[in-house]
Formats: sequence, structure tokens, C-alpha cells
Amino acid sequence: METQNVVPAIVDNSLTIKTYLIYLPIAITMTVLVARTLFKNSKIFMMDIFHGRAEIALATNRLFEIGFYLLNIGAALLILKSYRIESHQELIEVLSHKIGGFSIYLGVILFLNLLLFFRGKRKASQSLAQPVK
Amino acid sequence: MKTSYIVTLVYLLIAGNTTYFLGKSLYKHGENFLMSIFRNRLEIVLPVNKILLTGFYLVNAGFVLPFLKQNKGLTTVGDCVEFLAFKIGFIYLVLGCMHFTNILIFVLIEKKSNPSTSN
Repeated sequence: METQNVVPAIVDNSLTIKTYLIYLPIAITMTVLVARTLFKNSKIFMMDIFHGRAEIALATNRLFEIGFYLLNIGAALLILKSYRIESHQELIEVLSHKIGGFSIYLGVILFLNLLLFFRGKRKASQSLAQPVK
Repeated sequence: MKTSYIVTLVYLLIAGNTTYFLGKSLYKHGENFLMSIFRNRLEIVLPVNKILLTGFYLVNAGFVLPFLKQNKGLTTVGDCVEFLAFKIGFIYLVLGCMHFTNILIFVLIEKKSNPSTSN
């Protein structure tokens, strides 16, 4: 009886790595763009929340921005892993699934942040006993 | 064997740099809060800030260093990238949550210490 040498299926990793190489820059660029837009426009909210005390408002804004980067890049890295990509069609499908999911996640986080700012602003204006000049 | 060393090195580089810059930015921006809390008394603000920074580094080192353990062998480049992405992503998430807790504590203490300026 002939013993057949079973060749294990060689997993070609190059497509997987290509996916990672495309996915990571896109995800990180998206995060940076969203963070920059959000925190450029949030300064005015912060100034309102902290009643015009600029140094505290700007410090909080900057710290929030750093936290935002950490959370979102962390999330982007956690969902990076993809299994067994064998063709270019699969590559595109997996990529669009990941990037779409990440976009939706970013959008939700963006609106949560906006909600937070609006709520903080309302609370701050409620606690205001007399109008500030 | 060789790849696991490289992966550990890359992990330590990224985690260390992140911790360092995060601590530095907290130190820099936290000073404004401390100045407000301690009524601009610089001789208290600077030591307190230094001590807080040291504590931050210690906590982070204690979290990041035990987390570098590799359970399975890393053979391919894909394995290494996945491993690193998981580890770095996880510590970023945890550091981000810690960071927001820190900001919250700063803001709450600052609000409590001078309620007069808030209205």
C-alpha cells in the first residue's frame, strides 16, 4: 500500500498581511480625522462648561482628546484579527466589513461625545446663579 | 524563539512610549487643575504633581509588564501582528478608561475645591 504523503495545506499569509497593511492606516487616519474635527469644535463647549476659565477648559479638552485617541485606536487594533483570507475578493469583503464596522463605532462614539458636551453645557448653565458678563 | 524576543521588544517599545507620553501630558495639563485646587501655591503643586506622575508610571508598569506573556508560539508574521494588535489594543483601551477616570477625578475635585468660581 502506498503511503501518501499528505502535504498540509500551506496557509498563505501574504493576503492576511496585506489586509492588515491596508486596514491599519485607514482606521488610524479615520480616528485622527474624527478626533481633530471633534476637539477643534469642542473648545467652545468646554469654555462654556468651565465658565470661561480658559486654562482648565483647554487642559480638559486636550486630555479628552488623548483619551479619545487611546480608546479608538485600541478598539481598532482589537478588531484587527482576520481569519484565512484566500482570495482578493475575500480581502475586499473582510476589509469593508471591518472598516464599515469601525466607522459605525466611531460615529456612535462621536454622537455620545456630542451628547456629553450638550449635557455638560446644560448643567453648567443651570448651575449659573447669575448671568456671567 | 527569535521572533518572540522581537515581538516582546516591540511590545515594550510601544507600551513604554505610550505610558511615557500619556504620563507627560497628564503631568502638563494636570498642573492647571492642581493650581486651581491648591490656590496657586506652587510649592505644593509641584511635589504633588511629581508624586502623582510617579504613581501613574508605577501603576502602568505593573499592568503592562505582566501582560506581555505569550501563551502560544508565534511563527508567522501574521501571528506576530495579531498578537501585538491584541495586546496593544487591549492596553490602549484600559489606559483610555483609566485616563477618563483620571480626568473625572480632576474635574470633580476642582469643582469641589472652589464652588465659588463656578457661578
